[in-house]
Amino acid sequence: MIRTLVIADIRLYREGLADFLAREPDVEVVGTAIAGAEAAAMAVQEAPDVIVLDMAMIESTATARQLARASPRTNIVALAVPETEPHVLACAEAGAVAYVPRDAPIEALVAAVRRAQQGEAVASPQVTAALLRRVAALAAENSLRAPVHTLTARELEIVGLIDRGLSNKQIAYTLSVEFATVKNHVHRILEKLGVDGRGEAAAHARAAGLLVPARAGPGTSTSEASR
Amino acid sequence: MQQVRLLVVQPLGLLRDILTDALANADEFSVEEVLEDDDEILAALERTAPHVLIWGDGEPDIGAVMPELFKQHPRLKILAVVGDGRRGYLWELLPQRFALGHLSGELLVRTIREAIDE
Repeated sequence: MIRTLVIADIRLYREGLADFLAREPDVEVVGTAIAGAEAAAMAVQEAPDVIVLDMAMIESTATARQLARASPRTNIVALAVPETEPHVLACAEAGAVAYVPRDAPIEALVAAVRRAQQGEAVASPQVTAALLRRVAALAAENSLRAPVHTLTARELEIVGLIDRGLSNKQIAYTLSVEFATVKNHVHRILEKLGVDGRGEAAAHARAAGLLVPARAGPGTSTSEASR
Repeated sequence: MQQVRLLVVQPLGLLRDILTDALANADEFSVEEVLEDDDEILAALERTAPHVLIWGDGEPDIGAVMPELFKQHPRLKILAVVGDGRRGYLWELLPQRFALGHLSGELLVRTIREAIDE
């Protein structure tokens, strides 16, 4: 049985949805609540599999967050989320896994409850697109925070030369610096990137788009910092 | 027991299903037709001759069209479901409007019964 809690401040919805769901053979409505503290207390007490939450309520996003904290294993089905990007993202970040618009038929809600219980997401193509755009934006932000972006200009220059297959000695000559200075730089680069070899460091920088593709040359696979 | 003919107009799918489900709980009610929008409302009134029109739409729109509806169907009673199902009003010629307060399925059924019994 899918133990389900229905939360809506509009009585007609609250009671109507609960009646509908209760008639499904695999759904048990463990309670209904108007919002806020009452809903969170019920979520803790009943630990439902699914919560149907009317997002048209005042402070519904805060309620969703509260419910997700109170009953972390419960899947939240968000009802009546306006399909605009800010609303959808706020709802997803608050913990909803399924979205059912107001103009959907009741069967869509029943299906969403079943799929949410199985850990599946339910969303329209528009909502899915908004969520994927957000994931892409977060990935880009994370990539900017990656260790490779902490390298100084000088360190990047050295990684570039490593990528071209130059030894530390050749790099020192190219940059007109001491061999020991290059060794120090390379040690620091390996430390910052958390890698063991020079080739791996170059690969990281290349993957982040910070280097032009390396020409094939001697020693590109050498991995010790002191080469 | 008098059979009560009903016409339902409701653009929102969930609310439409909830309303028709609540009305189905009363044996004497017969939902003649369910419309998703009000474009066809006059034709549907002619077709079904309902005792009660259960109309959920924007409140101002209902108020604007009401005089014309009553002119053509003076004995019609209109149960307006407004505020996304939050509130309801019963309209008839005189007095024109009763506030019903917070709606429930039970209240919906009781109101229609009382309106018809008057």
